[in-house]
Amino acid sequence: MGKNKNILGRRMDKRLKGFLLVFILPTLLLYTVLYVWPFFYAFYLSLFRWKGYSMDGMLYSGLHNYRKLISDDIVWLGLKNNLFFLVWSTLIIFVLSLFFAACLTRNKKIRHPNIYRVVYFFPNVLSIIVVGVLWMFIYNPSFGLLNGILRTLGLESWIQNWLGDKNVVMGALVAPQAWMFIGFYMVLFIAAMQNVPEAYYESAMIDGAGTIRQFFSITIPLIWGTVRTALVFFVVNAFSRTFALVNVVTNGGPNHASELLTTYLYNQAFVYSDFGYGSAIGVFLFVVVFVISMTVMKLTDREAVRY
Amino acid sequence: MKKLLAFLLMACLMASVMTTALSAGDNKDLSILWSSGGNGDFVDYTAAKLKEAYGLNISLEYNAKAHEILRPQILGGNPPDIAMVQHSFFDYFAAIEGGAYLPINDYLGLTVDGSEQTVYEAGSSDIIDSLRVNEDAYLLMSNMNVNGLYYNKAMFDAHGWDVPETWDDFILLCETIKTTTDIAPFIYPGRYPYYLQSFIMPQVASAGRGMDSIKDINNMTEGIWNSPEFLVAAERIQYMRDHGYFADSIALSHTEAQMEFINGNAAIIAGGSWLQNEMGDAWPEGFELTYMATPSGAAADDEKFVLVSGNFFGFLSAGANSDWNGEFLQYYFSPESALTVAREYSVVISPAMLAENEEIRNMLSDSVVQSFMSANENSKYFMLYSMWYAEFHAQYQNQLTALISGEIDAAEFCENMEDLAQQVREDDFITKYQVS
Repeated sequence: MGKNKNILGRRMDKRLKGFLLVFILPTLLLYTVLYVWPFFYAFYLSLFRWKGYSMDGMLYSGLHNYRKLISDDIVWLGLKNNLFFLVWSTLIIFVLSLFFAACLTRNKKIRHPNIYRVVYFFPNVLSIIVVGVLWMFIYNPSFGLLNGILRTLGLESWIQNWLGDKNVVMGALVAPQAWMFIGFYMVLFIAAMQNVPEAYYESAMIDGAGTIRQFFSITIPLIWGTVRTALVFFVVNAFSRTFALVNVVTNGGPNHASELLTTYLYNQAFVYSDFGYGSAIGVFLFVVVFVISMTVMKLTDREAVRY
Repeated sequence: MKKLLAFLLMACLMASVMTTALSAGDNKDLSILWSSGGNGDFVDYTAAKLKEAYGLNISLEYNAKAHEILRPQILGGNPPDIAMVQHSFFDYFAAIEGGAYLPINDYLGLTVDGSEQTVYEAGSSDIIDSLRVNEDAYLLMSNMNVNGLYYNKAMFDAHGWDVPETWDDFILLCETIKTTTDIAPFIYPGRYPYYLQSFIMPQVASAGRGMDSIKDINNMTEGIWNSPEFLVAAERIQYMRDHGYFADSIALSHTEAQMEFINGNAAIIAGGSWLQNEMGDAWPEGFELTYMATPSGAAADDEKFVLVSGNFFGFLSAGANSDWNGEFLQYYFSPESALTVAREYSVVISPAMLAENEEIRNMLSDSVVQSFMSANENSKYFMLYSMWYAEFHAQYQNQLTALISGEIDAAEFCENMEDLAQQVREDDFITKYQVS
């Protein structure tokens, strides 16, 4: 479509453009004030040392907060834990949600697939706080469900202090994350898979392609746009939606073993009253997420497949 | 028609302006923001009395996230007139530094309603003085808690265990419990290591110079965190760790640890006077929750040290109405208010009043009365540094977790703490406070 032409290909006159702008402007303004401006203000704040209780108490410190960030071991530990979530949550959720989506879409032997969709999607409806508290009880070393089941099965050697042991706490936190989001991505993939024409599968079957070959040669390429979107969601979720879960379940403990960039940012700003440093961590977080998202988009960029 | 509409609009505008102008001189609106939660919503009595006596329009908001509401209100210039928020989430001293709070010096001499005590006396003069900034008082304690150790007297009687008075007795008891039962001798909420302050600091004080050692801790005196007395305290924790006296509670919250205690899986818990009320109906029949002053000395009659804590409130500088601050305090710290709160929430507003008023004591559970009587009889201390240096306090708790989980030993714990303290001393951005 050429410049200054509307959907019908006709040149838009100035009055029409002005009319459209009037409708877009309030939302754009709201978005700028509530979403864009805080980004820039966070950059600005990161150059100050500020306790957050009086605008007069802001002390310009240049790059002090960034120098502190570079030498702060907790920041790098938080980044490592966020990447742990990114890798393992993505792997588990991606594989399982694709698998379930394929089963419920392609396997005609499964009766009442809608029931399974509801069951798998249900955890996604719960508040993340509820999920966190639920899993805290599951992981309780004394009366928790998990250790209880292990004890019953005679697997006492597998019993752990799931949330109190620095060696297992991160793995323990991946489980509720996966449990909560498998259903969401499954539904996303089901919607994409249902748009793949059945004729492709029939042709493939005639040509002798098995189920697995069909999945990798037909399904995946034709839902690649959705897969790509899901991967970007994974990146964002690994850095943003994990905050509430960790904050409720472990608050970054024991002794920073489950600390994330977001939980550390929160504590620096709202608990230790160092908004400047918290903002610097926020800026760092923004850069990390941006770089990873762009990398994912670049690596997954491919021409659309057409058969 | 247009003229009629314009006239009506103008009349409405004039009416609203006049109403505002006429009511501006009344100053009868009072807004109060109060953190709700474990300690109860106990400004109701005071608000009702102010309404009854002075015809005030009181806007009283109880909110568990009051600290999140208050900060932006302070920055926006529209805070409530009076606010109580949890100090673990709100840096009162930074707010005072920023001019957010009014000094309360002028109100301290007022007599509380129904008593001859002054606000200064009823509001715990030692706490008021500890919280002064540059000689001015800004904060009052809304309620006091006594922190310490608690046990089930019925369990102790059934096993024939004596309540320890010295450190050696305590260790002997722990060993007896460990070797003869499946009960963990000692439990604390691992997610909140600060619960151990009531246990650790008496060890420091007993091994050192008593209250002067604790004062040095609050004042971040150079060398205190790796001093001989602090090393003794750390070594005692390490000893308990190495001998398996701690329950496996590193990941437990306060309520989870308390449930373990209630279920008889642990003999002694580090808790506070809120324990009875907080666990509500969970206490089984026959459970006798009893307070124990932390055994830390070498002899039974050695000085004992009791940690007190609580929540704080003050009057906001940018609040719309400061005319009723004195009256608020006169009712809040009155005997009737203390009695109401004790009856409904088992919470102590004024320890001074509790000591003198048998009616208040009768409203409280035994464990609460025991806690406060012990605080009155022994040396009370406050961990002020935890309010002044929040990040340092968080790092202290992390180091404690590392010590108890076996990652570090006592000497390393002390060295790390002194290094962290030195960083605080050298950081000019962190305001330093002193206890006199």
